Amino acid sequence: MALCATLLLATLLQGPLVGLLDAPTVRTGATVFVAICVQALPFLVLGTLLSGVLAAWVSPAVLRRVLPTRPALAVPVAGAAGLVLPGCECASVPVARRLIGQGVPEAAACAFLLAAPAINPVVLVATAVAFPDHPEMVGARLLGSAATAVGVGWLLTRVGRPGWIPARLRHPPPDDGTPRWAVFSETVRHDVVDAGGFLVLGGLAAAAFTVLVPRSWVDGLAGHVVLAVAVMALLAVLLALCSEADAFVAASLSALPLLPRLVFLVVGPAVDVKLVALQAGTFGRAFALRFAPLTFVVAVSCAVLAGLLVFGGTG
Amino acid sequence: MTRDTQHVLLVLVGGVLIKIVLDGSYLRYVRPWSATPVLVVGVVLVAVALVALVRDLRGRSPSTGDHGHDHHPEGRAGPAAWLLVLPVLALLLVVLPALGSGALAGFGARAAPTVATPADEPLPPGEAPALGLLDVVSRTSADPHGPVTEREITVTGFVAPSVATGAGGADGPDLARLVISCCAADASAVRLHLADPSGRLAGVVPGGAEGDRWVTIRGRVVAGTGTPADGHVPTLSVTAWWPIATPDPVYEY
Repeated sequence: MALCATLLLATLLQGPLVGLLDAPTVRTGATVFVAICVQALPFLVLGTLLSGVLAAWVSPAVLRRVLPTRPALAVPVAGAAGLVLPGCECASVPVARRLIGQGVPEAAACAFLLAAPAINPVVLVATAVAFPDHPEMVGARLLGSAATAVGVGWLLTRVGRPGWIPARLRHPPPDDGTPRWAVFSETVRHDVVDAGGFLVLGGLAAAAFTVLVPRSWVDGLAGHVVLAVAVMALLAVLLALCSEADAFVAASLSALPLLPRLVFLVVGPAVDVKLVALQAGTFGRAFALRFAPLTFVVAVSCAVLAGLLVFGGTG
Repeated sequence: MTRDTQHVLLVLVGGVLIKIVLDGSYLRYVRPWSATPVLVVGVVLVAVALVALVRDLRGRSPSTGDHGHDHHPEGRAGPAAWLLVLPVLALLLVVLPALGSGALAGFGARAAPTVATPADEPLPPGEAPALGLLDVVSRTSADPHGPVTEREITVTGFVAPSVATGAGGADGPDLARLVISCCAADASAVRLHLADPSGRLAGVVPGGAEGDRWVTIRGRVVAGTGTPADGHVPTLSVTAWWPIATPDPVYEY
């Protein structure tokens, strides 16, 4: 009913809405917004499909056998699992949520959440293609992102509190005789509805920043490495690019040294406005408000250290 | 949001994804390889919504990890789910155009990264072969006196105000195209300066409110341009041009 009313109202207001799009900035922002939705929805649904498979066919007992019992060991193992899942950040959120539902320790699920979009083969190949003159960028990105995932995971085993994630997320689907395919279908449907709206919210924010952030932010930063690192870390959060595309954007900012661009590549897949919205919707606001700043600080530190180590300087 | 509304909304989202692939408009937003994933996901969304609808009608209760959880009883979704209406409206009612010169104002103004090209890469055969702007810029970046400067070429783009910075006699506007590597959110610009030694460019001005002005231009790259000195924007000395409709796909990749 309410949906009908919304659609009817929008149809009636179509004229003024289209008129609003006459402004080039609004039109560009609207197109960027739709592009983010069209690009990210398939990855989100891929994540919910994996989540559905986990819910329907992978019992908590199986996961317990695969993962080490000690969280401190489970964190790097879960992080390494991210190496083989060719998804981007939108896909890993529903999967991590379902891992928690199937009894995986939160710290390990979060290590997977951070590792999967950052260090999978597709992203590493894209990075190599985007930086043909600097192959060391691939190793630096792998190192920085892996350190971020494991570092945040280990920190969570020390400082994490059970109350950060709602208890309802920790229960696998009840075995009430529902056929497995129906559990699968309902999990996919439910996860898309739950997360989709937040993905759209994140897409709105990212589109707005994409048209509003002036290029002058990155011009003239070349001589100021510390400032450049700060600006690029902030840009990674605001622009919320897919991890498959961010290397090309970093490559296009060729006036900057390698170190700030590496920070952009390590921070982006770990924390950005789209991801924070998705995580708030999936794991609850209490979790997202703590996880985002923690991840941001760890990611910037790991990226700077990895860069200094691999480039032997600011690059 | 009630379960029934969720089902209708998912059918709408899935349906709109299927529609933009079938009518080709998805190329305004993402790269060609996205056709299959977008189509498959559209079908999946419609399918899971229909499965849930049928099972609800037959009185089978939903079963997920959140079964009976506290704050959304009876399978209701939070208010954020309503935001899924936005992309549906944007794609169904307000058919959004592809990015064009409007994107050159913001972050999209930065130059696209060049692709690795051997300095002596020969041009395609034929008279005035058609090259992408990114290809031209990559070739001059590899060698500003290379094969690309030795023959006439044909290039396509929209007319944009000049950002001429260096030498090369760029007295005309720029020819620009947007390059996307994943979706339109990461678009960046690739440009050529247009030099007009024989006065043929009268009427080649940037498009106004009615939309971008797309042209195909024949000419020769001025040797020694497209270097760091001019911001990797080569100069093309124009010998002929003709207007064209917006190309499909509208971006370079």
